[in-house]
Amino acid sequence: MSEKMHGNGTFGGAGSDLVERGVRAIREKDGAIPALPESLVRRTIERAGAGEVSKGSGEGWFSMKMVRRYSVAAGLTVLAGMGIAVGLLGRGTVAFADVVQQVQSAKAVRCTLTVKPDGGKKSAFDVLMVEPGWVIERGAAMTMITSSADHKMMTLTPATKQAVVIDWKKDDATGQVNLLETFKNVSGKESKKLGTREIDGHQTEGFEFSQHGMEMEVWADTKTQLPVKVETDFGAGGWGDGAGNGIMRIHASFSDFDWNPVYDASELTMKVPEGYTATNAAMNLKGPTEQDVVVMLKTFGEMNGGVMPKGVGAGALGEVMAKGMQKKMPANMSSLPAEERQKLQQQMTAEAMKMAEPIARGWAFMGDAKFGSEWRYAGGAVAGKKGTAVLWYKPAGKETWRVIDADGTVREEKEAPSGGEAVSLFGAAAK
Amino acid sequence: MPDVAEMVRSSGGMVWRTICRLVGRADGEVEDCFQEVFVAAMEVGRRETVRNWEGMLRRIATRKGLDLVRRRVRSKGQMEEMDVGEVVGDAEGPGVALEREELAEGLRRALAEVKPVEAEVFCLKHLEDLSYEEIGAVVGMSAGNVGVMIHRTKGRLRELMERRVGRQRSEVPHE
Repeated sequence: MSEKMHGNGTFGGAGSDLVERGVRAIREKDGAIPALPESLVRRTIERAGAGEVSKGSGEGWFSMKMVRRYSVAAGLTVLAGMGIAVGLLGRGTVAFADVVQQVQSAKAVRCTLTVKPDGGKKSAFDVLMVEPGWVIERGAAMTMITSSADHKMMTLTPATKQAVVIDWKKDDATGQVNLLETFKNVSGKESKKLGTREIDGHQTEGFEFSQHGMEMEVWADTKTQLPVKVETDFGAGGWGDGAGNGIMRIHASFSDFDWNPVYDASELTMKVPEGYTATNAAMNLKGPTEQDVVVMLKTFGEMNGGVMPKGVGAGALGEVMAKGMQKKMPANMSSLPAEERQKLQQQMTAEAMKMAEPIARGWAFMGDAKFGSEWRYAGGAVAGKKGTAVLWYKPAGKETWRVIDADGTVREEKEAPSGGEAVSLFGAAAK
Repeated sequence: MPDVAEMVRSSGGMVWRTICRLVGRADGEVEDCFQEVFVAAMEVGRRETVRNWEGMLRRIATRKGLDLVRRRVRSKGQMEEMDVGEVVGDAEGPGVALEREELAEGLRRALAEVKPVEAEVFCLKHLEDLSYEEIGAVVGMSAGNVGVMIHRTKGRLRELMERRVGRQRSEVPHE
């Protein structure tokens, strides 16, 4: 190593490069680091030693910002529950034997998952996948830990110290959520070569395959034969209006792979961290029916104070939940004792979880092309009002429309409802 | 396994400095991070024999501190909030202090973009002053591989920082 270093191992000297100056800038602030608070020492000894609940001083923060973040997190929980995050990668067979072989030999991988809804903002997650069946996704607002062996997923929201544990035992379809596991079962057939491309300094070769209407691209380093980037879009033909009012079309990209990384095995646990309040729920998404869509609409209407919201997608869900929670929060929320705030947060989580299953089941039905197409939704109607069409679609193989009214009645019509503004749940604006 | 209280009292200062230095502030999340380091260390201690507790604590503190930096960088605007109050009060004047803050922030952002293990090894060397041999022992690599990784990581960090500076320059409106 030819780096010029001074006695203490740091870079020195003026005029050195940006990294050296950055290191110096960080170290020069050492003198400004406050002393370790004695109260923190005591809390840490209690927590690490006796396993007692400990609270960081950041826990007391409670505002609408937190509520919104929490609500979006709740929406994401539902999405994740449906397998929309990494779970969808568990459904394929990739046709590039060399790449597959390399991946199959890996026991763990760390990477970045970037998720971007159409027209929406990117969200990035640090992902760690470890055999057998562990996936940890860390985002800015929440962490999701999935164990396919245990059929469980735990969502942790640090801002509210809430843990939601979902039991997937009843749902066979969500078993595969680990990229490593996915590659275990792939064969070397049915892939299409995409050519070569340079990605992050790697010369790569791309492969594409399609299954259940989902296309997946894998770009592998030509030297190491390990994936450099894995990309996929959820669904076919465009989903939603980009504002989350429909069911979003989401682009997911896995990158920055670190194969067989050093990781902390103590993180692979479904044990709720100390200091967190847990809400447990079982979710069954098996065999969704049209009636689940009716229940989903009713749930949205109730959450939105008796009026159908402008959409029924994840974005709308976040907004509606935030609104609902704001109404239920006492005006003096921020001045309540920590214990009472925690209790309220727990109640809100429990309520969110009650709504999660009907919404997820409705989405599962609408998201499956075998049930129907041309989904349209018109918000603004008073929930429970007879004869007002809220959602309509064409059942697979039929020319007629199934129309769901605001009171939950389902009727069959030759023509799609007209008048009012409807959004397409799976594409551009409805006509 | 050492007594928890003794470990927190004897190594707490080092863990605290490591996290605060990396994150650039001391707040509730940093306090949570501090606690998590010792919780994780105790769990590792229960699972296996630890020969070098100090090294392991330093490594876990670095990793968890970097995790927090990464989360903040990815959470829009969080990094911009860092240390603003302290900048104004610096003795050498706000200009110098501001430049220093930008450099520190630039390095933190770059560290958030390189592979976690690379960031960890780089920080153990240049912020924690561990030798290649010491780093190799705690991360399970040969000293030679540690050296290679640090060298490559430094190059990547430089590239990321230079790119960011270039972007900032191009964003400055022309008269």
